[in-house]
Amino acid sequence: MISVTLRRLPLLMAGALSLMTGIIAGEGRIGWPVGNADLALLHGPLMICGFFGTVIGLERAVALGKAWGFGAPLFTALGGAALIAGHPQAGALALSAGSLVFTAMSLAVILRQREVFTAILGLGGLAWAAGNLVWIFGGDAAPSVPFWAAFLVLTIAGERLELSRFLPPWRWRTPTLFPPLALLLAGLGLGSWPLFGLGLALLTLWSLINDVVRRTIRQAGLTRYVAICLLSGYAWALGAGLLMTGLVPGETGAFYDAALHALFVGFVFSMVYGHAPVILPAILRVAVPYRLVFYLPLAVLHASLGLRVAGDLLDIHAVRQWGGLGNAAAIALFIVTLLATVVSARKR
Amino acid sequence: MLTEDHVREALRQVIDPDIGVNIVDLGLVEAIRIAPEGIYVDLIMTTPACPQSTYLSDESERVVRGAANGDARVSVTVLDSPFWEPARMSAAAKTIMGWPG
Repeated sequence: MISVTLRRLPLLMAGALSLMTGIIAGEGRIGWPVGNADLALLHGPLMICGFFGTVIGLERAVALGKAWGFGAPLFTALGGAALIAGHPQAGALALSAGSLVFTAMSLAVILRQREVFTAILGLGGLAWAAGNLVWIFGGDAAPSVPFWAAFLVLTIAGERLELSRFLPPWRWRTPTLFPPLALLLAGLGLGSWPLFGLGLALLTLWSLINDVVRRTIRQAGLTRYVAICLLSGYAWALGAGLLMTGLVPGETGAFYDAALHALFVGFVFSMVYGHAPVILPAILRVAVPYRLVFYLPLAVLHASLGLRVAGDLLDIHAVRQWGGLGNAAAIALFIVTLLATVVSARKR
Repeated sequence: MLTEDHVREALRQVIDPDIGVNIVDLGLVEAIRIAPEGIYVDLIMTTPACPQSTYLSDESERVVRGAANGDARVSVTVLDSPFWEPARMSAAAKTIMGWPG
């Protein structure tokens, strides 16, 4: 019988393939001589649906423990591969199928536990599926970006709201969450970046007040590392939200680049960095013991993103380019650090 | 002879990395049973979507196996219900998380 590690590894590797190709596409987009024009257009779909979709889908399927749930990462893995192989329609269809299975998983969670946080997780899945449908019917990925952003933001918000129950009860905790959520969803429905951004900024402020990181930052080791990843991610999310309030419909320039990468690289990748030492053992059944060196790729990520956003806001293309290359280096460094940690732990 | 208390003490080594508190004080250990055929631990999670359930159950199995010196069969199960609620936290965990004394 094939071990759990070997059964799940191909899905994770497929997610990694989307990540690597998505990064190359992104570097080509900012002017580095890699990839081609067709690949550059796939940067967003590969990063969000192919990579994050596969990894989050795999994580959710493992947690739920239902065989059908693995259909989500399987479809998104195939979808990412189809995009890379030059079959955009087949890729978009497979990615959409993956997001629908993911939404079904969210529904299964809601049916088992009817809470506000499970509903928010469900909204995240719906936003992803809706974004994919917009992409399929419109043929252009740009209008789907706010939906894909909502997928990741709502998924993280739902998970953090769940953990906030460890804090002393506060009667206004959930009621104060609704206005930022309503703004975010209104921005989504009306196609308004400013509303979406305002919702995101307020949601981040809500999180800073209600997240357990206020307590866990005082602890040591892995817990502190996770807390620092989260807090630094919240700082980028707040920045992203504020930048989005200045975006006009259809804007795709430097300001847009800064807002989107503050969110997807600064916020989302910080969350990935923080949770990889826990999620990787859960998915692959390999030990990833905490090491102080985990802070190094995190520091490179934030420094390079700072450079990129500064390049965007000052409209200095070379600075943006080097910042973007630094982002890629930070992700590569993180993967190498994790792999080295896994290998050294196995040798012991 | 390993007792339930020994197993519970071993499980205090398993720390929820998001909270920084062990799973016993967090109230995630539902039951411990020691039988001639092995040691059984039942855990509960805060939600069926909990991404850490496998991590926490694997860590639990590891520390209990260590406490048993590898002599006994160890089985850790994550239950479908009940779900966690704040009342399950120990006073020590509540203090760490800032609950009033």
